[in-house]
Amino acid sequence: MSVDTAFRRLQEANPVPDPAVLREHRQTPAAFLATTQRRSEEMQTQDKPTLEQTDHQNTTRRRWLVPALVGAALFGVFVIAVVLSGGDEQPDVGSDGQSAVTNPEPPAVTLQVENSASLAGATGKVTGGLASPLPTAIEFGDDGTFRVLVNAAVSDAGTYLAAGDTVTFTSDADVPAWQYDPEMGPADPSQSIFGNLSCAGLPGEYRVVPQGGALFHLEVVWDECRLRVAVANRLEMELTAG
Amino acid sequence: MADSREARFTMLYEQHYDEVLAFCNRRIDRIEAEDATADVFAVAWRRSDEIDWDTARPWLYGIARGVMANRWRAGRRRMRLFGRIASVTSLAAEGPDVQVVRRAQDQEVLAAVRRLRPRDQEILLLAAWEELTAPEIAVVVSITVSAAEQRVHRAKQRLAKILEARPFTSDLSLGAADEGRY
Repeated sequence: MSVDTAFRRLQEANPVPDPAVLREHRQTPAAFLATTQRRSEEMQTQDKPTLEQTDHQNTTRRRWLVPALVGAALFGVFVIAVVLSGGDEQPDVGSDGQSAVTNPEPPAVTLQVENSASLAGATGKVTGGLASPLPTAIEFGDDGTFRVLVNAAVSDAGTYLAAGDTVTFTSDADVPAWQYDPEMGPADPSQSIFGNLSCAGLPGEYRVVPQGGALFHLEVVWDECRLRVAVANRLEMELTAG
Repeated sequence: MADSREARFTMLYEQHYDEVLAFCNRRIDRIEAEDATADVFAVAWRRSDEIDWDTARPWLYGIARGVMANRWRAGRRRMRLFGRIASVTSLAAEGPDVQVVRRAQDQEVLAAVRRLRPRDQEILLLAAWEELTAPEIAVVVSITVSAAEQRVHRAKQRLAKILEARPFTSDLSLGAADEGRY
């Protein structure tokens, strides 16, 4: 089949060939703006307590923030995978060679990257739910590639972390607020960044939602894991099984 | 200033509302599409100072992509792109036998599209259904024009290959059988 024929067939399969047929319930622009304004006021009223608690010290837009968040989240994914698989033939990360963690409940893991992120990378450590903190570093490469590094001791304990040490992600979405707003605006889920990522061949999805000020929530959706991260000058991560 | 902003937005809304709604309705059902379109124009209103009239339509599509993806993730995660192709009003004018044949043909080509990578699917649909040019597609998916041209070309070739490998049959279950795979 020729390329043109295939393309023509796809055009003919258009489920809405004529946009005009959808017009019946359209609001007028004025009515739409009135509705939008009302919703906006309602949202601001609901969000006010949260915004007041937010640390506004650092609202500068940073291009490295998304890879930092994603990198941290991915590192967390591997940590949780390591912890959840404790007791198998895989060694237990962070346990210093002692008894394996077999708790089926997902542990809370916190990754802190306190004011140490830069264009080159970020450093921090994973704590919580593990026998000892795991120092880690994230190195940013070009085009959304970065490496999650751990220190030698941890690598010795969990060599399979290395399988996912190079992570790529793509931001396949428009990034309205982050690209254009000099400062983060009020909470608005529609301005979130989202995209796909892969690590060691495993596809996943991430979404970073501004919460107002310098506070973000990051959600990484893996097949079996869900992570949430809040950022306000520092990075905190909590993992729960999805 | 405020009047000017409102006037700009009104023009944008009047010119592109139907297209944005159609864009969404080609990918999600009608009710969801209307909500998503409202979200798109709410974002557009906030960012109305940024409107470049030469690229307003792809700019809105780009926002719509984000809005729909957010909805997919917030609601039924991994909702399939083609899982809820809306009923087509224009088909109502055709006889039942014609509709059946056309449906089967559509199912086959949509099943073929589903076999493409998500990135190729999107590029291809932007070209085929939204009838966007390569520069417009570049705006929607934030890539260079040359990359858009290449991707459209490659996606068309891949679609043709898939369709060639699976010539049209009247098997109506073809598309349904494929859905489980995606």
